[in-house]
Amino acid sequence: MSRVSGSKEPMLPNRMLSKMMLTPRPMVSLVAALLLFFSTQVVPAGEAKLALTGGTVMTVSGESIAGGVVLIEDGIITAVGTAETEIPYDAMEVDCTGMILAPGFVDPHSSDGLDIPNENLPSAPFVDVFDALDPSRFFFEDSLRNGVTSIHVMQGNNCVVGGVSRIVHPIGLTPHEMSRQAGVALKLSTSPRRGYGRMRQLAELREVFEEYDRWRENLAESRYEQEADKEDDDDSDTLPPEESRSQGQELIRDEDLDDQHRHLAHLIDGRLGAWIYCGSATDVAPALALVADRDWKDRAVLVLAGDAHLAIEEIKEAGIDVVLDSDLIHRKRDLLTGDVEETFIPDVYRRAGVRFAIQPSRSGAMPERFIGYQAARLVRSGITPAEALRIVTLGAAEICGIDDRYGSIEVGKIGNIVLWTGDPLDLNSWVQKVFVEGILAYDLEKDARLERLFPEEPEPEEAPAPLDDEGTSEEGQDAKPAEGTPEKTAGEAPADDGEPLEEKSSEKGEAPADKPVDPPKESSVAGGE
Amino acid sequence: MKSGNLWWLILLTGWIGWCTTVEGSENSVVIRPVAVVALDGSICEQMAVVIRSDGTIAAVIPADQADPALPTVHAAAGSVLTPGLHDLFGALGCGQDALMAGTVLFDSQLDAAAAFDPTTGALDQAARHGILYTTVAAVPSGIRNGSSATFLCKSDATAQSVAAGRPMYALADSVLLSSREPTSRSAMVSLWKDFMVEGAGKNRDPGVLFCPDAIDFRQSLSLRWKSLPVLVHQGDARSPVERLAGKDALMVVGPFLENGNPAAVATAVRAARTGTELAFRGGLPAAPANHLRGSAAIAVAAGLDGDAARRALFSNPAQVVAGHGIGVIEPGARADLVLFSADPLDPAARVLRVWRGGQQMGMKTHGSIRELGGIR
Amino acid sequence: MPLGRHRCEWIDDRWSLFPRGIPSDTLSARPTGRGEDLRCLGESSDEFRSWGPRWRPIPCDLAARGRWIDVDDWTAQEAQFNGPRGSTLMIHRGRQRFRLAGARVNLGSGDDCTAWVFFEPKDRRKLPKMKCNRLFSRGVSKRSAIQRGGHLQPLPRWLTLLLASLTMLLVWGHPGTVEAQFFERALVLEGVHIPGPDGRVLEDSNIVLRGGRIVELGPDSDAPMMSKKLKVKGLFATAGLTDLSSTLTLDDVRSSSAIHSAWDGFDRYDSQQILRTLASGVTRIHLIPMGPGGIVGRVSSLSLGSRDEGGYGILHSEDVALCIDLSSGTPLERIRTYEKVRGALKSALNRRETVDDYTSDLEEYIEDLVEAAKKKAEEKDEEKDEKKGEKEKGEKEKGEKEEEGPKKPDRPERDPAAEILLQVLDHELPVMITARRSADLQNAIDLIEEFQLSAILRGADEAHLVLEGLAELEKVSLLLEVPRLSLTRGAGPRRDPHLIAQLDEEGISWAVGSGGESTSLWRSIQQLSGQLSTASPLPLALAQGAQGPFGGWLRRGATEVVLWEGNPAEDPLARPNRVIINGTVVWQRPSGTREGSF
Repeated sequence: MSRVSGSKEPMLPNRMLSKMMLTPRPMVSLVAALLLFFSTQVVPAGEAKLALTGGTVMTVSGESIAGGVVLIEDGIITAVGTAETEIPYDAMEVDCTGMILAPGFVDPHSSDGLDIPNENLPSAPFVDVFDALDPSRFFFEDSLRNGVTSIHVMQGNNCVVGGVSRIVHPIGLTPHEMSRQAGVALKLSTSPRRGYGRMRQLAELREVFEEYDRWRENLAESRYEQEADKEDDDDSDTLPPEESRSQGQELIRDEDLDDQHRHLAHLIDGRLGAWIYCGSATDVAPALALVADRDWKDRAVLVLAGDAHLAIEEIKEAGIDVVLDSDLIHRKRDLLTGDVEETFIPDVYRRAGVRFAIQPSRSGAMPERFIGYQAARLVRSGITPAEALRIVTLGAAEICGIDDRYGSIEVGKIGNIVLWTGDPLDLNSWVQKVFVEGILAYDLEKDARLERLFPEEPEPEEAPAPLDDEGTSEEGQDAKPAEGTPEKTAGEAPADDGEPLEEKSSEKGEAPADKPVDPPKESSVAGGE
Repeated sequence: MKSGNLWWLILLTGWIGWCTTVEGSENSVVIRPVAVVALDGSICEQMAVVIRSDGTIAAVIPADQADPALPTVHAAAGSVLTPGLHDLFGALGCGQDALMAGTVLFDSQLDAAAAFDPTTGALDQAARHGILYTTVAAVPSGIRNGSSATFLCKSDATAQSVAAGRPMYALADSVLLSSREPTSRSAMVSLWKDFMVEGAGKNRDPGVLFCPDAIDFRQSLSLRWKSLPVLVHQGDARSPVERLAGKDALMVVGPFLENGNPAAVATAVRAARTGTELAFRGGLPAAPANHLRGSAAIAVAAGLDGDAARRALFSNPAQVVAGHGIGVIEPGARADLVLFSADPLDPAARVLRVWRGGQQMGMKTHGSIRELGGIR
Repeated sequence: MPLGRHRCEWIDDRWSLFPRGIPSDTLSARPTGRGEDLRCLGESSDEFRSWGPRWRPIPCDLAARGRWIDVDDWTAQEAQFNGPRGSTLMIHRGRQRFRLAGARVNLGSGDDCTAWVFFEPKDRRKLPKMKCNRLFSRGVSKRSAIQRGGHLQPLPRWLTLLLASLTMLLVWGHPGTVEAQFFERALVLEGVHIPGPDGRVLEDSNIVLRGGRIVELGPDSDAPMMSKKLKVKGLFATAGLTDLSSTLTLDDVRSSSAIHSAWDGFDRYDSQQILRTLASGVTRIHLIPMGPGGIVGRVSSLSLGSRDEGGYGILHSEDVALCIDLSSGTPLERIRTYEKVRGALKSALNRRETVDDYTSDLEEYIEDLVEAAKKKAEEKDEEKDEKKGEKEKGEKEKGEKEEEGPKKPDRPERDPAAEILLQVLDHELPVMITARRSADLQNAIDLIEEFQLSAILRGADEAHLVLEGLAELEKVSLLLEVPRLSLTRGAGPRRDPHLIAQLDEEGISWAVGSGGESTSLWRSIQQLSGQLSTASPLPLALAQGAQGPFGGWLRRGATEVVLWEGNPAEDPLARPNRVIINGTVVWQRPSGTREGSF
């Protein structure tokens, strides 16, 4: 040790850094802080201060506040409180009377935003979903419309070792703009890939890590030799390979990692999480064995599907978080009696006390594609609405390891807030507005696609405004909030923003069946102004 | 039951035996002492069977009553004499595709006997495994598929029919699969209802009905039968076999294979428990040669009564094809006999001797390896 | 002959596989709890003391020479083989550390050999407890002590006191643990009949299971206090059957490789299939990997008991054999497969050379290094004596040194498949060669002869045609499968009905497997016993599993019990009613409405 001490000194900061990174929490916050620092620069933070007033704030982390105020400054929530909360004079105030403010949903596991969800290569730890992110996907637009503000984009399940995932926002024109946190977790699978059997899958999975171990040994050896060569000191001695391998382990720097192994190294040294896909119950045991063997307990997540809930005892004992498949009901047919046994899967985990997240369906044709609907199904099985809402927001953020920034309306968290016309778990509620980092990212009134879906009603006395006109007025609105109109009040001002909102709130009492036709009507009124 | 049956047999056959021995017994053969599978499936120990020279059974009597002067076949201890096994609705003795039916929906002219080729060696081979009868029938692609034909398993120049043909019907998806009307199940069922009024209902012989799936079975039972046909049913967990209770029904099930569908076996056992008599369907020559006994062993392991299983192997198939003098060991019946080394339900039982029409068959196989070694 | 037909020794007074003089209890060491500590019920021998506290020898089954011995529950660390031939005892540990601790010991084929398995307790402090347990285990050790010569060594007083206080503490602190450890309720099967190998039946016997193992059995053994009693009066108890050739729940895959392990493919939660297999009386299977021809993967052996954490299947060994399939595909493909396998084995041999070269080079290199270091130190001393020399000189010396410096050998690349093949070539892992037709068998024989493999020939239907070749081989045994005779011509290899008689004549050992469908094992063996004209299929069936302390006839230490409705030795229609593995009823014949199911 002492022999190479001379060479160690320049490396010290690096080593400290990597030591810090060994523990996941500081690492996450560090990366987060860095990212935030950059993100505030990249995204033109038009609105400096935003005040959402008058709505019911479902904070998720604490009690709901009726008529509460949420202040967002530079994309960060700076205050959450009752109506008495002081609103800075220069804040743009958005009246949310009659609305419900909830944190944006967190989609814990999605490959929908990707160009192609799976790689052809069985083992591709070197890929990053960043390169396959397609900002123009309808999926992102739809996510926003359904109140999802953070998406953990991850490679599909059809792999042995997949690429690195990241957290993205569903807004932005380039992957850069969308990305919020790179390098969250690596996808692994213990379920056979298409065309594979279990034997081959597990053999190859083991092989990936054994190959990595050998590669790292060799790297350590050569690193040691490099360092030894550098020294002019006579003391520097060539060591037997065994020793140089163990001594060189500490000399490995980040830049020594090659592309093929970099992410694996990060996975093993703790910078990346391990998300392991288990498509059936029997695949759980090897996954847990891998986790125990490599000591990933605190950063492993099982992505489950099929009858994996049968292995609940094992999962419970391992104390590992799970992400459930969108198909929440498992049906098993008894060959002998022909009876079909139905299991509501989240119930199994809830009873066992295993923390779980749910994901929306990938098929566009089913109601399961709404996280809100999925959460509502949880309520049906006996979970309280508050708990169900927590599962799809803060709970999912915890499992993704981003609960320090996302998942609830709390001071210090990122201002991802969704304005609902009603309870977020009620299918009659609409997403009225979505603020992502304090920026209005979606407005129901300006949702062109919904407008086409629900064309204007013939009833209004005024002739329908031409589309062009409408468009321009909308654009104007889009641009305006940046400047901010602080003098606007909720009470009487017939300002462009206030009126539809008020109408909205008054309509809240109406029959829910009327809801779908509402937005166009409002927009037409707004257009007429 | 067992002992009562024994006494009945002794009394009845003793008398007949006495008559026959009095009549004169040139060229008769007696097999004794041997256990015999009786009509109800039980095994009667210490019996003797006298075979007349014309290929029929002369008498079944207690072993000590047999005439010691007659030429005697001494059966090994523990061996069991049974009627021949019966390969039902397989293709034994037929060429490939010979049983494909035509395009006629109601084909009453078709005779499966036309497809039978008595010269194939497979018949003798099957006989070595104790399978002495084969019933062939056309593929059930129409509602009426002609009639079945039953032959003795003997590779010979001429076919020996041992039972008259029975009309074959089908109410199954296979009817729909052929490229003609009907194309829907509802159409098929309504055709069947009409047919019940005109054809099958008037027919004196209810025949044999293919209804492999649970839905076929249910719909078959809903038709108004004067007397219930023999049902050929695969079965699954949802088959309402309990509805056959008390109807003296006869059902052809199987064949059961290792790792096959457990629900089919369970259904068959369920049916047997409610009083339905079973018979095992054959599948030769493609299936393993011992699959009939294998089916029985699997059914027994699943809970079928041993006597019921033996009835399903021997006497019930004869009823399925309405054969006379086959499937039973009683005076006047055909002397088609198999001597097993043990209870035929025991997988360990081997075929020791085979008689077809009173003639013992040469059991020698293709020569031992020692001999082959000499050739090499 | 790792796998062979095996004659069980029936010892009259004790239901034991072991010859007189060696108490079977010495073998029944088992972990209490989750593999935490070990409970040794046996008498410690003098040898044990000489080995010190770290390694504990366990006298292994002397009768089991030439067979597999399973020591799955122990954490076997090392083994030594003191046979007259001086051969080595081989232990295969699981390749993956994350598996259950398990090991499998092959005692080779020595004559009067003594084998020792050394195992290390996970925690050394538990050692006194092991002795303590000896006292608590109900009279078992006493009997074994009497058998050995009748002295039971008293514990030192201080130890007794310490133990007592410890026990008190434990009782006070963890009543649950104490109950589980010492007062674990025994399971008693009352009034069962136990068929024995000599055709006798022990009527109305009791079987006492404690901790999943049989501790007492026989007509005179009575139920301990507070034991759970199972109403099984009139049923017949035998050990579970072992299927040596099963593909239970494996999916048919299109790839094969030496690194594949059949255990990976086992579906623990496919309860329908597994229960059907249990219902046929099979409790232990050797899982044969499936795949296209060539080197298919490794055979695993497992018990079908239910796991604590759900599902079925307790792994026993992952390295039973390496499976090579020479019998699938067209004849041309089969020839190619043979060539491929041969090539792989050859390249493994080459690899061994490379590895050996590397090892010796490495040793030389390290020696050189040490020498160089010494030299350098001397020089330095000299230098110090001389005063510090000029820099040029130093540089010069350095340059020289670099030239002189020993050359580091290149480390060979990783090749896990070749490593496994090397194990095969070193006889650490037997091969199981699937060959059915005579041509394939001939190929297999060539392979075995060329590479001196210890092999099991699976299938071997046409073995009668290559009998001479087989007889010449030393280390080979056959794993036969009962063929499904078909009337169709050319449907497959033809099995001679007298094959087994011929094998016996030639002295070739054989065993029977189901060939995939484990449910058919019992019927297949019955069928086979009919061909052999043996009195009862039961000895044949139980001999399949009689390798090591499991399987075989029912006796103390066994963990797997099958209760039959009739006497399987006599009644051909007898069927299992209950299957008990590790003290749990894993399968029970459904009664009432569900009757008629498997």
